[in-house]
Amino acid sequence: MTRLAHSWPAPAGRRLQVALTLMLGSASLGIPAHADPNTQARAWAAACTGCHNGADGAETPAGMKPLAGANRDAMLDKLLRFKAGQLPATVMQQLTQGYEDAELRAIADYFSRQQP
Amino acid sequence: MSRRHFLHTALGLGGLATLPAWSGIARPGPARVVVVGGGYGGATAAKYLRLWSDHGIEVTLVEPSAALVSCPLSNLVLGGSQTLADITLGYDALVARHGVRLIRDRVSALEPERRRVRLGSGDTLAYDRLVLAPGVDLIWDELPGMARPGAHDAVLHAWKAGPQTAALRAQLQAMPDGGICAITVPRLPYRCPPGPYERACQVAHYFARHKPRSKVLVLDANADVTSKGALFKQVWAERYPGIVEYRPRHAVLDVDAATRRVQFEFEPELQADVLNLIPPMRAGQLAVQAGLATHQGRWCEVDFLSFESSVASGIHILGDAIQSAPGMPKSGHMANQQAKVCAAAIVAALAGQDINPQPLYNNACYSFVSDRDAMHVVSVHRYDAARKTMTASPLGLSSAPSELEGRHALTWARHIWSDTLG
Amino acid sequence: MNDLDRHHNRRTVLQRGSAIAGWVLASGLWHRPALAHARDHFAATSLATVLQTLGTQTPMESPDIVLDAPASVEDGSDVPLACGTTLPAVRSLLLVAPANPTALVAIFHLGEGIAADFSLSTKLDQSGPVHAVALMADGSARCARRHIEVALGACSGPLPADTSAVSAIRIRARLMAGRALVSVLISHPMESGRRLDPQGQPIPSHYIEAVQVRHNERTILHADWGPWVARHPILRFQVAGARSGDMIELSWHDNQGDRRTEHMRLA
Repeated sequence: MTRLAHSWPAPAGRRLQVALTLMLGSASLGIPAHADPNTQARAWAAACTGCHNGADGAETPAGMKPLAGANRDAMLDKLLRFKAGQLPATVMQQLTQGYEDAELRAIADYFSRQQP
Repeated sequence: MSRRHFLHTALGLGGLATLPAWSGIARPGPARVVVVGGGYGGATAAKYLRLWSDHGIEVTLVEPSAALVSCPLSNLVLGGSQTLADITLGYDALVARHGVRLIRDRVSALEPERRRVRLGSGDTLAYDRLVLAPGVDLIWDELPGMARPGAHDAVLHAWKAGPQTAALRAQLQAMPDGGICAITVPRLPYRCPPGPYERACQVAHYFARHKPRSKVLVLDANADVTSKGALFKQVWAERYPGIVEYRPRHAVLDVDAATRRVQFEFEPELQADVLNLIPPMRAGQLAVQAGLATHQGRWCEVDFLSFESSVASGIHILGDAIQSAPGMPKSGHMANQQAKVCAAAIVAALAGQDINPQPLYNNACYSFVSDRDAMHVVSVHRYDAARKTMTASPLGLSSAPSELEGRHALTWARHIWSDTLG
Repeated sequence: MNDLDRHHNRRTVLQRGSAIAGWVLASGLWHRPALAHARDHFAATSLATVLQTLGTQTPMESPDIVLDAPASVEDGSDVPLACGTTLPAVRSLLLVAPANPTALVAIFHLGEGIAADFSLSTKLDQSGPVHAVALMADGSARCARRHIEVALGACSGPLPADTSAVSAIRIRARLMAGRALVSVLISHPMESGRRLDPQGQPIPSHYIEAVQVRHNERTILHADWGPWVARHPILRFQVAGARSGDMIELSWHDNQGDRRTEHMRLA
């Protein structure tokens, strides 16, 4: 059987990658590079970063800030209140109504575990 | 699952179980994915393939243009509140930050039996998985008048942002007051359903300020406005009365580019001073040529769990080129969402892991009705395992356009550019 | 190639070879189904019942029956369906959408001199199968089926309530290799009777029940329509043996007693 090299990036390169992440702020890279075991939650959360991002330090309206590192319970509470129509919003009430509560929970949990 | 044109001896998933992560299949070294097309879909796919494999997968992005000129927001260039430079984005971060290998060239042919693509330069690129995000091709052969010499300089589509956007803006600026700008809309499906109507608002906004006796005629092949219809009609009536006129059921039969006369099947011919002809579309030529556009010869059917082609194993197709699921529009936002699902599936497959059986994502689409005010439509899309397609939630719409939503829309653009390319 | 030609040429096999000589009773009368009530078949809710009501055998699926339909549509209120066959001796062609409240959309009874090849704008209420059925002169039936997904569309909104008046019939035709490729736009609300107005009251049905086409002095087509033909429908068909100067005439009558006729001379 062919010996296949396990092709991880060279360690030095990886450290540089992580250093860049910390320097520039992971929000500008979307979902941070370090892997999360729960890839389904990662995939669902990835649908949020088109809008919720921190683009190159430019001023971001409160409603569209990056979500990495948010407090899980606070985020979930907000999402559920959007869904119930209790918090005013332009799109979030409508979007959250398309998600199950458990899915919102998984997404909030995922973001809470990401480095801001 | 329909017949597979492209048969491979490799690549059963079971065969991967014993191989280390990110391995190429028949050769030593990291897995290689080639992504064709550097738009919202392709660029996002390239980035997330790198990100989610911890840079374990080698990703090569093939794109002929030096920069991505965003179709979203390009209508604001026509209205005058943005410039082409404002919406032109580079690929530098994809290369420097994410280690995507960028080749500035076209793909001239697929060689699926050999798992490689041939570039315009003559070189070939081998792959373990191929991602095609070729966008749309505009169909001209049903309009004999557009085959005449000079037609494409006189009659612009500006449906691929770039030089045509600037040229159409120049045509509008050169048009005398009291002139007519006609915008033709093809039958669904086409790239960006609300786009032509947003364009009508932008041109009307420009006319209202600078050429108030001019008119915008929206000549729609469809039976009604295809997106945010009630909202657009209200905007036209309230903000641009006497400027925008909407005519449904006007399918273009042919044009005379020199005189900018348009012929319809049932309606009387008319002449415009500026004719913006948006023709019918199909998947990008590369996909059509390769036999991947299996739906009515126009759109590529895919597996919505991975965006793998229904007829070609190992080839994934995403963005405007696919046969969309019901309720799924063709848009940059959608392509960005699809690309992440595709990237996750490829990363999982190459690592011998399970693909997410429940893709779940959304669409958010803003239309600018003036230089500052915008409105939205949103929907949520989830996988239906029984019918093997994505189902769409009911639409969420703005109650009215607003300046707040205009600010959100500009922020959305900056953020999705960062998500796609940064 | 323009929209009109593209539509007709999409099925070039049919264009060259589609059945021209329709089956006509020796007496000169049209074959019409012997129904207890003239429109019983339009009340049926399944393909089987439609055919049973017409006294027809169970159809055989056949690759010789062409049904051209999109796999999915954003909006079911205007779905062009094309059906046809190259088989000879076709009496009638049916379009059936069993997922609609009633299944039968339209029947085309072919006379002599019209091709077994039609395109018609239809209304599809929800996702489901559509069938094209050819009733043959020998009493047999052949069919083809497609599944169509119907969605309102992520970026689309609902159509406004219908307020259009009945107005002109517009006929366009081109001669090509001895055939006239004819497109007709019929202005008619084609109100199904199933919709409610904003106050919640049913909007009365108002739809075309019968269409007739004449080529010069000869009737070449009788079609029975129901409420599932689309508002302002476009009908396309082909006339054989057509020459410059010939007259094509189309007339309709609806379930409220209105009738219209229009004709044109081939250029």
